Amino acid sequence: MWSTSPTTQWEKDRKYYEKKHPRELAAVLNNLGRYIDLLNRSKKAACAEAGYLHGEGAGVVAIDQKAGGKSLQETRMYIFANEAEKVLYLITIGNKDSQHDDVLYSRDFVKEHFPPPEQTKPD
Amino acid sequence: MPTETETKAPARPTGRKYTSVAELMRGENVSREVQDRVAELESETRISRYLAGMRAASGLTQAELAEKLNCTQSCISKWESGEDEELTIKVIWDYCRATDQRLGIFIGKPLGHVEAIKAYAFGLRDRLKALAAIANSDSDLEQSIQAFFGEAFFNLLTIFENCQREMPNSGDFELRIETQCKQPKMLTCRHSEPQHKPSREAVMA
Repeated sequence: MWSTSPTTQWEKDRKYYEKKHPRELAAVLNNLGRYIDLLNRSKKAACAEAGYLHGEGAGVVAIDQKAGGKSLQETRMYIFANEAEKVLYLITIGNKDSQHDDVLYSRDFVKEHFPPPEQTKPD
Repeated sequence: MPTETETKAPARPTGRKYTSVAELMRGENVSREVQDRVAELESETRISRYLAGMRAASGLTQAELAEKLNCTQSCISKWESGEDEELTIKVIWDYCRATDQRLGIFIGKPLGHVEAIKAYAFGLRDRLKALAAIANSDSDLEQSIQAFFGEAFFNLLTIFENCQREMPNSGDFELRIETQCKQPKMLTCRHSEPQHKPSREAVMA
């Protein structure tokens, strides 16, 4: 079973969105729930695909606000799916304007906390 | 974004883990307003969520399912990511057929507990009758169906007994079973010691 784990930045962003954009936050949280269901039921990783998911490189996935209602601001929740632990790390939440920075920020989080195996080998 | 003008500190894992979004929202003290809206959205996307799960459980990618259904991958993506009201019966039917799975949908006012138990009981009766009809027409299957009846009977009583234990004053409860079988069988249903009626043995014919 997959679980989710928030990060310190996600906590801050979540509080901001809760106050300023609660409908957008609800929409991405609902899609996060859909993604968890999908991962739990998938026979293989390739099956866990959906229109509200966007691969952002380095294992970072963005979940958008699709099917969350009309006239919502473009919102994305950035996550990292750690296959080994079966944990979805919730990294940050942002809008279209901050998209570029959010992707880089999320990739940095993954690099720092989940470096690829070759980087962990001793010299 | 809250930090557009400021530099974000690097994110650190908090170590807290949640197995569902509902649990996450409760654990992180997300406002009632957001929790209610998520619940509302969940009910509006329940079938599409289930369809995506059916495909994934069958080991099919969206492209593979699209090929089976003779449609485009973007159609599949739209159905699975959209709202339930956009789906048609044909789409649901196609998913069941292509994934060889079964999906039951109930729409409308939910049944009360008593109504639901009655509905299940009638369903159970119909299934048992169908099995009895098979036993009458097929002597090879008769014995195994007979054995299944005994097992099912005992299991149902166990369910009743376990639920009864959760009732207040369950110690006063007596479940007395009387059956008439061709071959004597001991049917037992153990319960906490009854205070008023000591005779709770299963009666054999």
